[in-house]
Amino acid sequence: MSDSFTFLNAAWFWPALVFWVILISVFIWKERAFSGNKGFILKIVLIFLAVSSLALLALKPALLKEVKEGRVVITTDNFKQSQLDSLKKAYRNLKVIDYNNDESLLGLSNSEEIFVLGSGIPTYDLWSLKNIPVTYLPGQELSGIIKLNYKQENNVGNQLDVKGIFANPRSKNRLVLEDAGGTALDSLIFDSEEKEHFQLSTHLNVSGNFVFSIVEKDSLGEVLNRNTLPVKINESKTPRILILNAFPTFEIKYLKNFLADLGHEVVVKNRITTGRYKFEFFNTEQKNLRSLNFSNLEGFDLVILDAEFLKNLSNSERNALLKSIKSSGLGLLILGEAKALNNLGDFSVFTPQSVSTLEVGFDKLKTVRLAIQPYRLKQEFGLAEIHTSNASIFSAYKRLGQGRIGTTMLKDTWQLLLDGKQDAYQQIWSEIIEEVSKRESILASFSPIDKFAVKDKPFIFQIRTSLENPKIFDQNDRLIPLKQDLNASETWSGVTHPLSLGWQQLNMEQDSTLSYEYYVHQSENWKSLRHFKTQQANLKFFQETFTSNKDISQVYVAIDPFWFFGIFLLSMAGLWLMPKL
Amino acid sequence: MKQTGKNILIRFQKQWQLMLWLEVFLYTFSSAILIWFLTQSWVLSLTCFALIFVMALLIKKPWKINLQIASNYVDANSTKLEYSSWLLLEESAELTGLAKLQQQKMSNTLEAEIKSIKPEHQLKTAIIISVFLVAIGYLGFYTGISENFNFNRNTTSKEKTASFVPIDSLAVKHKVPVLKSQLVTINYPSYTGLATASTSKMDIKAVEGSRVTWELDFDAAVDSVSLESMGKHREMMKTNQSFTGSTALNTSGFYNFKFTDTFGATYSSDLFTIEVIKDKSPLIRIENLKQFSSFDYTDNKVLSFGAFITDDFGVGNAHIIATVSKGTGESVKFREEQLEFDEPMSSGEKQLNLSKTIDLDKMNMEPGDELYFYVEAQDLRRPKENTARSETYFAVIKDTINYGPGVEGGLGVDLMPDYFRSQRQLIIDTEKLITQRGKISEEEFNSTSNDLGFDQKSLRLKYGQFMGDEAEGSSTNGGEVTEAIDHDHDQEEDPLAKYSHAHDSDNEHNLVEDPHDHDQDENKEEEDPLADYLHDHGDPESSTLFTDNLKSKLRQALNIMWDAELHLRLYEPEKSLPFQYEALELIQDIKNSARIYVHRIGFDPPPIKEEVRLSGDIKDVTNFNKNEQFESSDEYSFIKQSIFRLEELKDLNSKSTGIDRELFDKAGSELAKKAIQEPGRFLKTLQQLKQLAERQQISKKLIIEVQKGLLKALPEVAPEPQQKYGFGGKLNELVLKELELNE
Repeated sequence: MSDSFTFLNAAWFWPALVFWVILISVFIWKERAFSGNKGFILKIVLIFLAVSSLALLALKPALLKEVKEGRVVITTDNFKQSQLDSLKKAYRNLKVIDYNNDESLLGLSNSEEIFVLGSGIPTYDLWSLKNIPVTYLPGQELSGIIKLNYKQENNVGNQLDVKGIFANPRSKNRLVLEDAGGTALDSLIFDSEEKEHFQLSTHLNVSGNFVFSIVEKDSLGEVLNRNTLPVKINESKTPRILILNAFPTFEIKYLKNFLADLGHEVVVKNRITTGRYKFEFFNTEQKNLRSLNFSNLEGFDLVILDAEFLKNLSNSERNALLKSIKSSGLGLLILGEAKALNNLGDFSVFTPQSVSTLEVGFDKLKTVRLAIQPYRLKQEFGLAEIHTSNASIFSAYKRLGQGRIGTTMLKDTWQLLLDGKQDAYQQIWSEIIEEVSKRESILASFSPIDKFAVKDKPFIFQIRTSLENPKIFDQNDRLIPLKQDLNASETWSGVTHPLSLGWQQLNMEQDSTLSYEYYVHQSENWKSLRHFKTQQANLKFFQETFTSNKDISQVYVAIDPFWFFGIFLLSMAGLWLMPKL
Repeated sequence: MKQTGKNILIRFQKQWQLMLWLEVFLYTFSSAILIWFLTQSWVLSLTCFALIFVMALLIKKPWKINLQIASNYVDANSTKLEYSSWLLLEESAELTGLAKLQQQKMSNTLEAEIKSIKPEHQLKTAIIISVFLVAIGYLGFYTGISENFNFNRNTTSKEKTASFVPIDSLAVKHKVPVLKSQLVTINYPSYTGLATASTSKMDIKAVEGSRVTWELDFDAAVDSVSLESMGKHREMMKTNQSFTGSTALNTSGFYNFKFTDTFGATYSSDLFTIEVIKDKSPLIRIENLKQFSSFDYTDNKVLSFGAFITDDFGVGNAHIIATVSKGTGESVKFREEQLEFDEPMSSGEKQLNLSKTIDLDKMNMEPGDELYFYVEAQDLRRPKENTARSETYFAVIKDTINYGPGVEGGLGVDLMPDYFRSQRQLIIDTEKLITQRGKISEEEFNSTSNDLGFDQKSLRLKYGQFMGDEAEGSSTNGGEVTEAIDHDHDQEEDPLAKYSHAHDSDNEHNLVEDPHDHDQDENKEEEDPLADYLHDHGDPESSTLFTDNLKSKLRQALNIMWDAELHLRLYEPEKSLPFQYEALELIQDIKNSARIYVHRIGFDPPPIKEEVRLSGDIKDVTNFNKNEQFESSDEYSFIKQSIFRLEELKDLNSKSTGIDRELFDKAGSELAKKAIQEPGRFLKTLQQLKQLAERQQISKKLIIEVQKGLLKALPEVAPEPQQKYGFGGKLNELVLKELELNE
């Protein structure tokens, strides 16, 4: 067989040949009696033709041809019929491929021009249209949530904030955030028909994997659209805190009570007089804390001390503290006089600037007025703010090696408790302690490329780990191959195709406790959001790859089986007619 | 003409028929409306409508009135028609000549006659009866009598029998005993006077202390039945085929039944609520009485008021508790008395309107005594009655001897002498004198005025003492001046003046002022060098009894008294009065400022020696260790676990396991603790939790509902510091190092 000719069903060649030989021989043997007749030769020719065409019908012979496919339109979700119609009008012989019918996109490379209509081709399939001139015509304008941002993994007691953009809302319709039980937690009513930014929030009370939902309702409360919002709520660990005090203050007393009552590990070392201390151990074992050293600081995530105490530390204690901060990531929160922050040696990382106000309302907590020392912290490189008010920083931290040193200009916050503003007090101190405390380091962190996994569609995730050769299994214990990033050796990526809906798990072989849970959505969920994303990706992709020149390749094209069928019919007719003539 | 005659007859017939139809409809409509009012059931009302309509139709038969009957009737009711109106119905062509004549005649007569003939009907009776029926219906509806006939409501109030669900789903193989009847009997405490109530409704709402009896009747043999309430388990007694149990209600809560059939399978019912209503205390309202009333001695000292007392189950007793206080300060004495209302009161009334008149004289009250009283009422609750009392009311008989505000405020002793009061007396006397002008002789008038002037003078002199002057000194000094002026106008008034040198000296003083002044100056000059270094009590001007401000005030008062005295001595008491008032005001002022002299005692700590600070011996001061564990118990832990487990069950769509059921049971008891305060709010969730805890197969809808209920029961979580976590890879470390280097 030459290069220009082949059988598409080449595998059947030998069986077909045997069959052909047998049939021909049977016929010849059957006709041998009439071998002298004048019709014999004709009969043999007809039989030959009939059997051969049968064999060829099965084998599908094909010829190498230069194909010019013409123009192709690929329709995807949300395409505009009018666009398709006008394309059809402009070009005859337009080939229409419906992407949703699972038609292959391969073999389109010879097309003269390809139009993609609608929301576009999902990112994972875009590669098949690489280096082909494609014109992308976005489909109908989307209505619904097109951008969404929320923390999929959160802690108990935190607030869940769901922010996003809703395109083309209908005025007076509402967007409701519902919890797993279907209770409305937060809602908003659209008041315009334009693109609207929204934010819905709620407090998280219970740990576990829950499926919240964002529901769009019309003004009568009829549900128009329901999207599931998976949230993984973790029970949080609490930091272990050491408080060192040159003299007892109300601030420390109340802070200590607040933390101890919540069951946190708190150790307080209070100087009573020269060289004498009062040690208080809450929810923890008694430890030896006469002098600070690297090993006993290891047991804490945060040290809160006042500037006075810091000054009185011995050199070795200071060095131990500094080392703990730099190498093991200990947090240090310095309280006390703002003026004293300047002469703390290695610990002087803040620059207080005096201000005239003595009371502020923080940006996050506008309703509560808080007393401060008349200073603010100078905005510097590396300063991470915790509490701000009108662009002035009042609580902040700076990184020092692995750890953090923080301070606050707040004063007499315990009065909030006396005023009955318990929540404000707790919020302020929780924020400060959380930010400054040592971070618990984990072996690996997972991050999905696309937050919304859909059943039977590829789910791409990324892992960052310092492990040599991480191995990831899905929940059915199938190994998922990982690809290491060329530049960042700690970054790996993998693809899996979730087979069922709901929460799925990825497990790490090296550490069974380290698993990543993700939620597989129904394909109806978050349609507008996913469409918007593919649309953006398509616009970007096809803009970039439009230029390349294509070379027309040759393709084997099957000979139309009708030819063979015709020959078979004709020869049969000949065989039938011959004895009658 | 003949046509007209026939037409008239036809019209008459039509009219008659209409009347009868009207009657029929009146009867039907009115009775239908009556039935609707009584039963409020459209079905009954419509049935009645149809029935009455048919009946009335059959009686009245309006269709039977044909022309023949009409003409017969017309004939019968008119003498002029000669019984031949029927002729009008005949075709004239078929009639004989005579008949034709008669027909024509009739046609004419009928036209005139027909107006006087009325068809036979009872329209009036029909109208009256229907109005009557509608009125009865409306009254019945309005007064509520209709509730007895109200079939609608009866059907709705009929409670479904308690449904029992097998705890073990395997048990459903054999026939389940079915509850035939259920009965709750509530015996209210006897004092409430409420009749025993029986109902098939299992949610109980009853007065505290009521006794509840349940009676359950099953159609098949049942081994045992028990009542579960708030963790308590109580077997029910078997009597014949039915089971009974009873308990006294003290607290709100929940209960459910459980029974075991003869095959050993256990079934449990829904949860039902017990809502206990507390017996309220009586409410007392006092009418027509001010909180404070005061009487003068001369008044008619009688208090009268009404008391309106209500209670939910009847007032048991009501009386007035009165306390009389006598005397003041340490010698105060109290006397308490219980007074009954004027009317005899009957126990057990729900509303009492009582009145009382208190005569303070009969209470042996004297001026200055005070009466405090309040009304106290008890209801009939057993074993311990509820008691309520009204606000306290006060009645005072004003004291006749009343002291004005003194200076005793801070000093403990009344330092002010009595004569401070007499300025007021002077004013009173002066006013009295003014009113007597014209009534008494001028001589007497003048003499009284002069006497008053003298009193005013002595008052002034005595105040002068307060300025630190020696009594005599000031008297002579002041006297001199006064007398000088007095003397000018009235010599009679001061007999002493004549014999004293005052007159002369005064004259001298007036005439030769300089030498006298000079004398004084000389004296001053003599004393001046010393004066600066002396604390001289002798000098009236620098006396320290009063501060400067007071002193100047007193001096001013003295000066004004001068003017007052002057006018009195001039027999012009009217002109003197304003000065006297002014003087009185100033003196009152001075009295009040006397409070400045309240003890000024304080403590001045001795100064600290700086050099000894922080140098104490701390040998005995040791380090102090304190170790404390706070058990942070989460009272919602099972509820939280249940919420999470339900979420999982929702997804897995699987059967709940034994562990799950145990968890739901515990969550149920946690929720029950919370639910006791508001049984209604969490009842449904509790019931559903119970179902979850007892069944194996759970529907997804139930899971969602329970989860929703549990989530609602959870309180908000306050922010709490949490440890953050993150992956710190090589890249991070590199960046941090670079940052540090470049800093």
